[in-house]
Amino acid sequence: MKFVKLVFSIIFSFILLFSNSSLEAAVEEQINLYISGPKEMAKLLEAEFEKEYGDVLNVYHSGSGPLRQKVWTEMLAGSIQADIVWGAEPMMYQALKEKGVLLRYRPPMIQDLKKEYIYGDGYFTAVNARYGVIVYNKERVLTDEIPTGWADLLDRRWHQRLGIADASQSSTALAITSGLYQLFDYSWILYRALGENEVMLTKQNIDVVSKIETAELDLGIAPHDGVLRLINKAKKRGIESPLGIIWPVEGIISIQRPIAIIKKERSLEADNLVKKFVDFSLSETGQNIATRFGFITVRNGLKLPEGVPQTIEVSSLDWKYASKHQEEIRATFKEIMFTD
Amino acid sequence: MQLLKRSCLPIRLVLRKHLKSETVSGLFLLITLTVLVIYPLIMLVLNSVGISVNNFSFNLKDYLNLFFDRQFLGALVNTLYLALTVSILSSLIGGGLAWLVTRTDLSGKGLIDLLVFLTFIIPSFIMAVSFIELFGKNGIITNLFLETCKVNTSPLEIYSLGGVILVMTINLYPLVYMTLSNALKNSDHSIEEAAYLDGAGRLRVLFSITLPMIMPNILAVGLLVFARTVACFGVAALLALPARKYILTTYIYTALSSLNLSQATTVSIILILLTGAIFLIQSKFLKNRDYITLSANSSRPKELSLGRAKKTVMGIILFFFFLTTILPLIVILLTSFLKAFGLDYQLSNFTLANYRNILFEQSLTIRAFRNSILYGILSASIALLLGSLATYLANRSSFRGRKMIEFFASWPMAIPGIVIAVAAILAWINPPLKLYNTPWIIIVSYVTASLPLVVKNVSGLLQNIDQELEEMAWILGASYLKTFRWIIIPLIKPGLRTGWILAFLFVLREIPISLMLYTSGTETIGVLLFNLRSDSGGLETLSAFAVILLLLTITGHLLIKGFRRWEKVN
Repeated sequence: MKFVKLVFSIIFSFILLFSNSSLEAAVEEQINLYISGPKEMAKLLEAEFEKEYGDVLNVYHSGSGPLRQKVWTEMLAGSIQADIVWGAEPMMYQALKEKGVLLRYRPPMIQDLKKEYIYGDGYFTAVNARYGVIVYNKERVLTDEIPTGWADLLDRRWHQRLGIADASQSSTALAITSGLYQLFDYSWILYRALGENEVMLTKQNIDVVSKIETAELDLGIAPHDGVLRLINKAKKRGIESPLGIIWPVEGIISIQRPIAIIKKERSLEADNLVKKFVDFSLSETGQNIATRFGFITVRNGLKLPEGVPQTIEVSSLDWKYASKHQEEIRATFKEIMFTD
Repeated sequence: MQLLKRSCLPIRLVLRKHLKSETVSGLFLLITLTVLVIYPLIMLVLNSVGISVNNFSFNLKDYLNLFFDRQFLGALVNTLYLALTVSILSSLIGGGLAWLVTRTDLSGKGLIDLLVFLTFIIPSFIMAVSFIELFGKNGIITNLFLETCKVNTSPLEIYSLGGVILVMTINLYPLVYMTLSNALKNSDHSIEEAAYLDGAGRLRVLFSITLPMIMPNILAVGLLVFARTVACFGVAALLALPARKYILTTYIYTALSSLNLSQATTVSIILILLTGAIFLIQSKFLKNRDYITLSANSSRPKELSLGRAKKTVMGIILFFFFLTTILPLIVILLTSFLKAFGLDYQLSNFTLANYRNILFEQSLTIRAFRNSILYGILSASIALLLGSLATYLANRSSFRGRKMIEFFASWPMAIPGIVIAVAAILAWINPPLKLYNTPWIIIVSYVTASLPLVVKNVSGLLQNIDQELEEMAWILGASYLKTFRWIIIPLIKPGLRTGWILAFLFVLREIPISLMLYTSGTETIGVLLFNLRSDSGGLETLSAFAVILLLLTITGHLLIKGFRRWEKVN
């Protein structure tokens, strides 16, 4: 019986030790924020907001795919647990808007935003942008073979050298896929070539960049911000990163990270806090924190992150089309990539 | 009940009292297990036929669509191919080693036991990470091979189904080894010796006596390996998904990521049917294994002399262990000290920053360890309580639902972790049973998954206890629960202890359940293992985390061994 006693005493000491933290559910007064993007950025944003309002945020952080999956599963199962959703790409928000689960709110600083980022009809608002680009390893890709644009990726010389994030796992990857599909005149020519070149699929976009940095891959397609972060991380460790960015001549794919409030019953105080957080995300402080992590600001008059050219060719995308056809795009992507 | 049935009136009153306690305990267990195991499965089935909180349109279209879904069919074929190959390879390696250790004069048997055990406790996901560091495009062995052989192609494409086969075989052959070496030790070796005396050759004895004798064990453990491979998630997501190959578990995962809940639930049902069938067949083999002749004498079998081949065989075995266990451990340890994976393994590139980052800068790591340990202790203890009581009632009571109780408590053995998670989401998201977004949804799912581990370890012991012992306790006035507490528990203690430890270790190693169910503050070791590379952007940080986890697991096992020794002495 000594063993049983020992087991039970361990259990109770653990329960006593951690009952105030590990096992308690979210505090009622807190508002739930679901956010994708770098974890460090989420932590900084939380700390900055809570400086003014106290411990009011309960933050769930994940990649864009798991974020979208969590929101969607919760919606299908009956109720979205989040109060605010921030991250991923506009298609998810368009779909949520159509399902009638978003609360309409126009932040007061909307007039300070660049015109191209004002959309969503008040149901969601773009907070940051990231640019889909070509990333390469400077030590693995010879100078004379460095691609200049998306069309160069059709070449057979990239066989087993390329990587992209899986559009059925990552929602940002789905947005990039949709963008490149539109850029290539609504055709799958690029993705068929990628499939034939036996492209490697990763679960998140940052994995593409990280695999290129460690020379598991030679080049790939990913948003620019992750590249800037890994270059900075290497610099901090006293290493020169082999990562390089190509800003394709046909234009980068601009993907915005929107924010939206979920429509649900809340106390007046919580409702107020939720709106304050949306305002905070668009404030200069919120925008500058995101810029430090490589994201493009949506406000006029603020700086671009270091390493992003001042003038850049941006290919304009039809987000409404992308949202409407996202099922079809995802299904075709899977059909091309998963041949057996 | 023999003693009580033959007894006089006051004793019959005792019997009636116990029957009442039995019914109360039985009903309590039946209700608890129905809520824990059956209710989530019902939700899963209902959802797969189009019935949910928001939708009541019964249809089988998702099942019918699967017949035309090329990716699903591909996933099914890949799963079967993977499981079959891993089962065959594990049986060959594990069985071959077991034969060499139990039947030949091979030296260093203790060392082999130790190395197999070391391989056994390395989580498969960590093994996969180390193989990426060895055989990836910029892996140590790949670079060495390319430089030495002056060729352009890698010796092994680790991102492939082949990579999954390699890792899962290394992960699962120890299971075969342990089962078959036990079976071989316990089987009657005198028949083999008689055959040798009659002049039969080694191969003839092996194929006509030894193998047929332990065949039920081979098939049973082979099927267990098959089922475990079918349920594998982390390794397949790490190595096969990048190579654009689905297996059923990763197919469910991406169906959920693609917002296709109904497809995920439909494939989950197919997966349960597949693993359920395997366990049914396996239990048949286990029932039939009675025909193994158990050795009546305790003498050691006469060992076959390997002669001049002895050193060569040992050399091959040691090289095998070096490649599959030692080298992966060394590379993961060295990488954990690198500034960045890909740099040369030289002193100037080494740093403690990865450990500092994990242990002191990332509060998440500590939280993940704390959560996993806490959830592990809680779920293992609850599973221990429910599982042991269920086994006791199933074997020793006249409660009408006892067979159902046993079935409910053992059935989760056939449910892969990812399916338990999908079912839990559907079952626990809405009030009044809302556990979603709390730690309890993970703990409850862990309890469900751990129940069979307890049942399996307790039932064998319980069947060997003479029932008259309990009846005597009843006659002497002990209550039903007191009898369980003072008579039964001490006798099944070894099974309880092993069940608890296995349930706890399961929690430390599992990925899919917590990955699908975690929320802010409830991250576990599995969640971190799966996401750390993406969050930190480096294999070096992931390696440091893996080293800490390995140290924890090894310490845990050493503690258990020490505890057992202490218990024997006392």
